[in-house]
Amino acid sequence: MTDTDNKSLIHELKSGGTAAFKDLVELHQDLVLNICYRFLRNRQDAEDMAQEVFLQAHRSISRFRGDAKLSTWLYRIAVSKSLDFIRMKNRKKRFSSIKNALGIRGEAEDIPSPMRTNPDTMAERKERLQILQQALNTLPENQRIAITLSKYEGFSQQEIAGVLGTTVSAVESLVHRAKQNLKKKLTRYYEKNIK
Amino acid sequence: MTNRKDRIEREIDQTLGCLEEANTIDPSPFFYNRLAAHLESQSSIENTFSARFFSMSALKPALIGCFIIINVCTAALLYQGISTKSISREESLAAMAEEYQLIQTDNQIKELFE
Repeated sequence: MTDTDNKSLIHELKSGGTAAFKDLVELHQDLVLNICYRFLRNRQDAEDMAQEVFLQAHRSISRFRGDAKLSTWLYRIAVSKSLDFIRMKNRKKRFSSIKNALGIRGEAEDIPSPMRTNPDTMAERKERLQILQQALNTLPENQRIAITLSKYEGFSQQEIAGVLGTTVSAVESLVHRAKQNLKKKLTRYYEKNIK
Repeated sequence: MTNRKDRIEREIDQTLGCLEEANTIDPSPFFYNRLAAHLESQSSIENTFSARFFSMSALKPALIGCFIIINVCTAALLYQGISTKSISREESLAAMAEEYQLIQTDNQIKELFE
């Protein structure tokens, strides 16, 4: 999409054009959905989050100043919404563990986590993904964003820099540090768990 | 010992390898329809009378004006209340002093020495 196309799309979006909004969704739904999926690792959650991203974009397009590319702005919303969702989920988890400790059982707690109850039956890949996700969740936010997006082939370093509001060299360094930190965390994990 | 170290290394590599996996998903064919339905339900809520009434641009300065007037009136009334309160307090102090004969007039002082 050229700059002129982009500008006219933004102009139409700001004037509330439904066709323009449809174009925007069709252009970016794949990437937005996959960004959410990269962070959330759950198809349904990712779909819901992608919907939220476009709704948010529709609500706040009038405030879009055009400093960044429209796509970068959308991806930034997708990343921040996904991270908010993870934070909320973690809060819920903490709250439910307190509830469990107090002996209060809710509806959601009746479904046991497969990891804790029967690890033998769980697929190896799923288990690895879960371990990786846990390690990723403990990384500093900008490192987590950088490494998650860098492993997605649809994203260039330039775009990641745009999402993070930093330079390409800073992104490279963030990815490098993220890898080192992940390795450290995984080493600690496996040293504890492999006898 | 080396065996364990090797195993740990292998596990780490394989777990980190999950990051590289090109795992992408496709949006459902009804993605936009769902979104359009969401938007429609949202706009119908926004179009209710109260929402439209309060979002009227002409109404905003009027509401701000009312708010300022109410605040000024309240402040004026409060100030008036304080000043009348201080007068009435002086009056009541004088009345009390007179009642308990705390203030003595010149004649009363003269009477005391005669």
